[in-house]
Amino acid sequence: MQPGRASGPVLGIESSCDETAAAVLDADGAVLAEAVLGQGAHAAFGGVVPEIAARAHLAHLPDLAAQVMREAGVGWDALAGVAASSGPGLIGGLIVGSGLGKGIALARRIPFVAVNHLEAHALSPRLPGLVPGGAAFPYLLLLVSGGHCQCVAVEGVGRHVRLGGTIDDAVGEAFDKVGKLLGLPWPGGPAVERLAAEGDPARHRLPRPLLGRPGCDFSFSGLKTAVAQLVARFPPGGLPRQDAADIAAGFQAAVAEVLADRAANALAAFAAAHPDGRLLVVAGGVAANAAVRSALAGVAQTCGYRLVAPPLRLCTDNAVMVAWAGLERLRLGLADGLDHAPRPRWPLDAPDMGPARP
Amino acid sequence: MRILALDAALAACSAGVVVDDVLRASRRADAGRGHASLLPPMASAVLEEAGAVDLIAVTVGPGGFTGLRAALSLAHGIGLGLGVPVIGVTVGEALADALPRLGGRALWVAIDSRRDRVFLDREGSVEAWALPALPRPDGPVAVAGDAASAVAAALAACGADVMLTDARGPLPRHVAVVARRRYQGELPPLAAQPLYVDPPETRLPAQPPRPPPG
Repeated sequence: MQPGRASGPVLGIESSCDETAAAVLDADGAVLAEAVLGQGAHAAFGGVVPEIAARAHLAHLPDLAAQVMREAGVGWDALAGVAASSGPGLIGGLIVGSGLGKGIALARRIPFVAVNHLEAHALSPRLPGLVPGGAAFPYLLLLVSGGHCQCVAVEGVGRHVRLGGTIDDAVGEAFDKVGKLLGLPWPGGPAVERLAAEGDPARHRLPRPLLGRPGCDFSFSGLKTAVAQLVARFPPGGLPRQDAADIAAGFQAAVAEVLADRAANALAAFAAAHPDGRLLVVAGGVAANAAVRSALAGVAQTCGYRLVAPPLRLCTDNAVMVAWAGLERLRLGLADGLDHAPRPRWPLDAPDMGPARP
Repeated sequence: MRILALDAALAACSAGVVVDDVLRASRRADAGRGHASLLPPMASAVLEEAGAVDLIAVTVGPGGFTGLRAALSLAHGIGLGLGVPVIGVTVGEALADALPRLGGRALWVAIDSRRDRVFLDREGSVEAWALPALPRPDGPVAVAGDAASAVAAALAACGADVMLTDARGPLPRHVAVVARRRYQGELPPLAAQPLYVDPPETRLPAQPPRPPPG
């Protein structure tokens, strides 16, 4: 395959958590078709149940892949490659997605790309048309989701420097837990944000873990505990709406302030290493939160950076970003063997991420 | 008929191409938990060696979920890529095909589950049993499967008339033959999805959630 351009469309597959997704991109990265199936079955359990997720992925993914190929008008014989999220994430789903991808690849004798799910998020701003003028390397990525919370200097395909990350909960996990404490449906992020809009963020001064400290690590468990203690003062049963809204608003304000503080430190570290950097990218489901976005936009502006948040459907888990990461790798002549082992843990700066991969 | 047979239900995994019920190419490996990295190259190798196929046959269990997911997702991928059907075969069906002459004995296929349990396939009906509480057979039985030794010993200890067979796991030729018969309508249809037997392991929150704010 010639570097610079894939020889045809690429199928992307995502199944690392609770979204089953497939997408087809043409050789230039334009989206020809995409589909995401959420899994409502987890709501009753207040979080993703790995075994339920794994079963649902296998039940739906083959049909979903066929569907996007039909919608894209692309025949299986026209594919130039298949890319599947192969880690990090829930192993049952990763086995299903990578297995399906490998099967298609070996049947058609086309390359298989074992995509690191975090790299798929990291490269998503480079999707054509997303950032005016394009997102050239390097840029700073703030990945904030239910499973991940980290600052990464994205220097190239397979070249990522992790500047900091959470030392306990992911920020989206904190939103989920607070949502549960307040009696809101899972996932907690959107529900907490809606309730916070009715509340007074100044009524409760909640802790801001690590605020003002050097570095760009995160911590959210103390904040979550503080919310639990506030809620525990109320008798069992539904909280009075205004009280719940004030707690939600106080929590969200604390999160936004902490994220902005940590992002400012990360930007300073990033700028020192990359004087040419101009872009702060925020990705992950928490990037949908308007208070978080606005706080980060403020930091970016202060530092002379532009904040870019991909549209929500590309911020949360999706297969478009997986196909795109596959395309970026195929353009560099990078592909993976059929013996690639999907893995639950796969840091972005792992040795096998680099372009030297065979 | 040319069939690719895949199996990763138990500790070993295998891929074979079977042409008109004759094995033409095969690979086998002890997988441990590595089915997802071992099976795809094996499938690719037998297809390269034996050429195109009309059908994918794959074991659906009972067995280990990791292996079942690896084999079934791979089978569906190859099926999509080649545009050929994917046909599920139970471990019990594949072992029964390997044991055509049992002298009137009923076949019980015993598959190791976790925590001293076995999945018992009795003439197509699959249930999980605790080893110490196995059902008593009505007549003479033959036992196969990876838990056959333990189950045969337990049944013999209760005085049952038991024959221990040497069929421990599915072999590609039998997986392919059962799939061919199913494809040709000799056997009832079966979804190419894992035979989980048990519902997913879940735990509801310890305390009921707080009701929504007033």
